Amino acid sequence: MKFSKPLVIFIILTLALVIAGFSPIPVYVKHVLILTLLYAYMGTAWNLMCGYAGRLSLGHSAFVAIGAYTTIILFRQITLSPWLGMLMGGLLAVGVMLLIAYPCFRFGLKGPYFTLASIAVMEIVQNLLTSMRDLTGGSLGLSLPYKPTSLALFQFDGKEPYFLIILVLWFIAVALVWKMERTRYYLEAIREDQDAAAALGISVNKNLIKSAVISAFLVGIGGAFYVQYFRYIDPATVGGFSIALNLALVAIIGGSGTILGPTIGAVLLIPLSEVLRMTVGSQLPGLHLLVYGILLVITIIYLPKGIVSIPGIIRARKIRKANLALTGSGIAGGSGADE
Amino acid sequence: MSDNILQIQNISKSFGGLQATQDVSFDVKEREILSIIGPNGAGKSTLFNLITNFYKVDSGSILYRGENIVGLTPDAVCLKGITRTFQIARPFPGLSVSDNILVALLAKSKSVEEARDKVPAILEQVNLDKKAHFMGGQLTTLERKRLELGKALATDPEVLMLDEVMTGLKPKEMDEMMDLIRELQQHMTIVIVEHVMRVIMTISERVIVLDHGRKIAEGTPQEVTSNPEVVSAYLGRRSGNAGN
Repeated sequence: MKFSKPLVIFIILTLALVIAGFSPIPVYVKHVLILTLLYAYMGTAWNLMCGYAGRLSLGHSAFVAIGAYTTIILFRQITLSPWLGMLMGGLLAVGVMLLIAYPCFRFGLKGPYFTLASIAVMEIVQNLLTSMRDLTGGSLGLSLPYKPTSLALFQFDGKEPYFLIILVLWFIAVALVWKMERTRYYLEAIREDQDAAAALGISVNKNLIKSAVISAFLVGIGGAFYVQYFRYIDPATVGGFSIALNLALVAIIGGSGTILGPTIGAVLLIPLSEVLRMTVGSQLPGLHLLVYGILLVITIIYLPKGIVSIPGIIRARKIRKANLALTGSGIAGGSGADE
Repeated sequence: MSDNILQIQNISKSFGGLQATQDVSFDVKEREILSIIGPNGAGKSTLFNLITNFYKVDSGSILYRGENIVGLTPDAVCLKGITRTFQIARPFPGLSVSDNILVALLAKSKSVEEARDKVPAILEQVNLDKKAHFMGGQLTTLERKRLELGKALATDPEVLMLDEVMTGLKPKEMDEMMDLIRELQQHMTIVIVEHVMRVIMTISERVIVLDHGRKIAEGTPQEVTSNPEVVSAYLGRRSGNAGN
């Protein structure tokens, strides 16, 4: 148990990322690496509520936007350190999440209805940001006033510090989800059948809210990182559908409801979309999105449980073959717990 | 008084215009097997849902060891020591059989490891040890029922409420299930909703009969089955019989 397979993968992944980040690779590749880690981090946060607890949110960019705007506005208005701004952004994201999650969970909103509610929240946040022009710059967005490299101001000229920060954030998020073993089981039970879970002494609301709060906090912090790294935000980019969808996609393609699924999804999807954009996208505008879409559809059809399910499928097939050869009757049954 | 673990006092519940439970009162004694019977729609499952607070009672109180548990959430009722099964077994389909049991053990375990250690014993008790790695959704109806019972046992209840665990079982399987229930009686109080008369006559010490949401009889299995009102509830009333 001490060194389970996912733990080994996690350690190897972390080491590989550290080596990659500090090796003399082109700046653009480093940028893709940072982007990948950002989505791996936020996807892990998304996964806690949406993967484990099965409350599918397609509006999580609302919390990215809240984190990002809180940080940049506090910095521009009262020159509050972005590190504190980051914390405030995370907390504000939690506040907004509670406002939505509590009534949703209390009145049992789930399935497509919860998803619709999450999209509505995203639209509301986006509209508010657009209309509060004096504070947010409206649809023109806000840019971060340039400061020379300073740890206190969370601004750096090179890519490496950003890489290191997002690596640490990602590590913390994955380790946190890892440590929440009991809560993960509770959330899975709630996802599968919340009445049956309640009958076993599991507090449905408490656990759902816990997952939502942690998810919003981490994603809000991700938003703060986003604005510090990109130095410019507008409501449509940071609070729009594209980020929200990408968070869901990295988790679902990688394997939602698993610890490393979102990370594996991000490691594959984000570089893939960048490569496609540079190669196919330069031939015909929009073609890369078409190819990307087709690849997603194929993955979802053949691997509904995500890429992390591949070893399990192979093992089950082997066992079935072995059983067939031995007894002539196929008995399925994978041994060894993966997650 | 002290040997009554559960006291149901004048509870009523209506859904819109339908009076599902009407002024029902009864006591459950410590370590007894109490059966609740009645025709379809008599309000047996509603009564289960009321006692475990899945439904809120309109009026009346439910005392568990002298404490009114009305208004608690279902999970709090379970933590107090009352666990119910569902009439249609509800395994967690996407979790393995052993994880189903593990989840049920968690609420009363200090750590996940502690819970994990207890899983094999429960799987063995409900005869699912060979299916441990199957998904909950892959089980047959009978296995689902056994898993449902295993999950309930995993919560270490003081009052176990079984909603039609015998339905669909073959006679031999019923005998096994009855043996298991008698064995469980050593450690807990058992309330059963059941249709199968053979089971009720064999294992219950007392029987409560419901009809149209009201309690119409209470007593030993023999007393209840010879009660004319019970017979008429099952077979229909003769014209001229007094209603109430």
